[in-house]
Amino acid sequence: MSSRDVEMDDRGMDDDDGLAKSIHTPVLRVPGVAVDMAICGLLGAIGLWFLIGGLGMKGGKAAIGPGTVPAITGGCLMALSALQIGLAVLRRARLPVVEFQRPLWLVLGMVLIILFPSAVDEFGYFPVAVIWVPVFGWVVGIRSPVGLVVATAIVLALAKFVFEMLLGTPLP
Amino acid sequence: MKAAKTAAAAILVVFAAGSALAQNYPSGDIRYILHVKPGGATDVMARRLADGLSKALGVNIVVENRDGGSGARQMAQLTRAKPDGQTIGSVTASHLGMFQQTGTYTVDSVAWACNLVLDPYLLVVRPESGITSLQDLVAKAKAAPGKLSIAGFGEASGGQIAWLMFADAAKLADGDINWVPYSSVGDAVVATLGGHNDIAIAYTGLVKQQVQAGKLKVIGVMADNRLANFPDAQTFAEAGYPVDTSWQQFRGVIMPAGTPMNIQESFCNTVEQVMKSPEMVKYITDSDLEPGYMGPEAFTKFIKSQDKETKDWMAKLGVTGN
Amino acid sequence: MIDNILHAMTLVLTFKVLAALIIGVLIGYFVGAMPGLTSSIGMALLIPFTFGMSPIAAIVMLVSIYMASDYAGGIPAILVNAPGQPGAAVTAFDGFPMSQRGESGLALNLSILASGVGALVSTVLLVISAQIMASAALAFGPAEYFALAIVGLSLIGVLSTGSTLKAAIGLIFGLAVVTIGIDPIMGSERFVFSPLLLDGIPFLPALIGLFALSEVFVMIETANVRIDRVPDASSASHSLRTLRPYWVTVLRSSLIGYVVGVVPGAGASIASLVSYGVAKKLSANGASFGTGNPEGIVASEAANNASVSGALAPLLSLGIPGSASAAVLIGGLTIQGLQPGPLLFTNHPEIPYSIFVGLLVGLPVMLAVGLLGARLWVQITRIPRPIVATVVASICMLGSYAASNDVFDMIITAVFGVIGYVFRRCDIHPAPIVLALVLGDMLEANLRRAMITANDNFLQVIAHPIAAGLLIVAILVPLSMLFGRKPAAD
Repeated sequence: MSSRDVEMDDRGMDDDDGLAKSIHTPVLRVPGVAVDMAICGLLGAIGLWFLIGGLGMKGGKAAIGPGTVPAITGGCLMALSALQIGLAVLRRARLPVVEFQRPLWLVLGMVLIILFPSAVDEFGYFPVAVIWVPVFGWVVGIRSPVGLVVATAIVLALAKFVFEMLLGTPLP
Repeated sequence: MKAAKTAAAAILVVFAAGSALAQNYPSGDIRYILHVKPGGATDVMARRLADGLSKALGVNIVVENRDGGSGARQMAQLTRAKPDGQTIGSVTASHLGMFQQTGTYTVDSVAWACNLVLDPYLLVVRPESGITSLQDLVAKAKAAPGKLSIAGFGEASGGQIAWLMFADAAKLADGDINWVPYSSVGDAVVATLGGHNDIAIAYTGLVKQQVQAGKLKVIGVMADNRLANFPDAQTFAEAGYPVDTSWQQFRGVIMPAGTPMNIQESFCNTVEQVMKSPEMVKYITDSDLEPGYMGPEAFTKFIKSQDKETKDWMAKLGVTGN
Repeated sequence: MIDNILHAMTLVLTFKVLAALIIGVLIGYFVGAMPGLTSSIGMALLIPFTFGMSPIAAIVMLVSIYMASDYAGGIPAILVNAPGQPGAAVTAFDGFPMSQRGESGLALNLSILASGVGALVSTVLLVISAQIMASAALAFGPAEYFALAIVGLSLIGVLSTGSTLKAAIGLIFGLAVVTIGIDPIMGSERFVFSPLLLDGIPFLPALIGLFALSEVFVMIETANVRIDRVPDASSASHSLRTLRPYWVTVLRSSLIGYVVGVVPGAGASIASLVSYGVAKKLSANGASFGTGNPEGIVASEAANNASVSGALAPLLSLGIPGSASAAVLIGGLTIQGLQPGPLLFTNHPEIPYSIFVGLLVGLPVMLAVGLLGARLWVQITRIPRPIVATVVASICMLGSYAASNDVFDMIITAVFGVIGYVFRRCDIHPAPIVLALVLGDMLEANLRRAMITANDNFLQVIAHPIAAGLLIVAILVPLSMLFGRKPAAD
């Protein structure tokens, strides 16, 4: 494994011009081993949390208390994650490289999705949606103004006529 | 996380026409947050009440089901709402048990506006179980400790306290009959119907048809007098096991803590009228409920004593969650 | 019985009831196709409109919504990998890959035809066996539910397409997530780091995140890839003959769906998972399941629609709801002054028989809407992908909010969308996670109830005949995977 475990391919960061996009797509290449180690490491940590939390729970008279199942699942999660990491390291050559295309847009999209609920809670659905939908549309890859307007209109119409009026959902 | 539980959440708008009251309250639509899934007895009753209230108050009553966690999910909503009487919630005895178990909320987390109905607890068995009476049940349990089990709703619930009261009066030792908690009284009745548990503690409405069809038998009722629907079933006291019969399942209305008393009273007066309307009276009789209206002060007092009793019984028997 | 059916026909075949039926089917299609809006929510929303209707019209409309929405959940599952109903998640396993190959028209037609046959077979079974199957529903107690959950989890090896170890990791992750919230037995809090989590991770928002929203992230990555396939809506055959190669699977899946549906609490998700697992195991082309094998769609759709009628059996004969939607139906009946219970067939035979007739009359309506609509829906694949992704993401958020009017549910969808995407890139498929989310609570709560009942004697728990039988199946399924890699059929 070289020091360039994670390499950023920056051919064509300018994918905004809409020409020959499929050729100029930025790609983040991460070795499969690294992906496995990161995710299984995280899952192993979650497993440890459930194991410790489960063991710390006060049981009742019954043989299986509230903490029994969390402790068992936590322990299993740790063991299986460790096994996967072990296998990944041993057989690293065989794991394919994981390619993340348009990585910056992807991360931006995730951030937007995660922020959306809190923003809705704070400012109300419609004010947020009017801004959020076109911004998200841009991030996803809509480049024509008509497309952005259409997507926003569809979403707002659905929210207004279907959810709010037909189904009586009081949107925040 | 139950698929059924989450899937069942729903909202419903009761459209109503009518003239606005000459008061400031209510100032708009009222949100009525239920702690149960759509379709159950509490839900149907709440929707009936909402229908009557919207006609009387002249505003929409928006019924929302926020079921889960024995009412904890509803409490999370209710405690975040403004205390202006525009948000109300349903309440049953299961809330008191949840307060004990989770420790997140207490009786002071909400205002206890009014009670609607009461519902006495019953002990039912399958005819195939061979248990014929309460005395017979106690004798069989003492002969083979741990062999019999009783199905009921949750842990530290109103039903379990009622059962503990009976067990105490009958001098049953801990472990003579195992308490098996289900996620609803309905589930507990079904488990007993299927013979997976021997006894269930339930209410009239849930078992009436099964009893008429001969699939279940009521062996005891926790009330001062026998019930019209089951004239053959003894009361606990008649069978020689006197208990505090004020311990009954209740269904009421709660509001966010700090809701002004005049708003609570204004609302509850309307509730009292609606509960006396012919449709409501018929519904209550058909469902074998006991009218048990209580205003804010009486209801709060009732709840405090019920809460104290819950704590005492849980402590006495060492059955505590956290 | 014939008299009752004929009498019910005279009740159902009136203008008002038929109008209610058609409205119910249309609403059902709509509600079903929206991720987040399940059949039970759709039915609950419609209940106030039934106040003024006759009991027959009200019940027929609610049942039509139930049946139609269970089918319609498959449409977005096939087209955009966003199951509209939990039961349709399995349909997406093969439906979406087919759609990506440009075979969305065929996939949609197969799914509606299989749904139709599933609904027909199970309705006939319901008419014949409603009262007998009731005892089957009662035979399931804590020990049996525990064993059933184990059988479901044992399907993991069959369901997973890639590494079995990674599927197991996904499964265990799901089982751990389910324990968050209030303990089902003792009522104490587990891993509740916010009061909002008291009720645990809500299932529906998590499902929407894992499937639909994670697909949106995949679409962000591939936004620039030009779509150069031709949707085949018009060329795909509507004929029942399309189903011919799969008729054994359709019938088997219908039967599985009906039986699983009868067991209260099991429902459409488990029905389609079990049926899919069995079909994959028995199919000559089992290896291609998950990559766009039409048989997978057929197995899932026939079973999840068949489970609808199954769930009605304990409701009509005992008053026990077999699913969330059946519980809402009880509410609808109660409002009409009818108390479902063991005496319903005796006191009000017109209600169960009108439901039977309503289901049978509703079928052609449902099929017609589905087959004609397929041409229309398939057009979604012509819309530029970024626009689809934007709208799907927004609907995911709206849908998860509408399920219980809670912003918290949107947060769950968002978080599980990211988790689902990241897991996919690590080759952990959402299927095992969903399997665990569906079965986790059933497994733990019932094991503990059974243990309390049996004085903590595990041997006594597994001594129940049905439980023992199911556990043997649960052991045999993974073993057959180990030793029977090559199906004998080819």
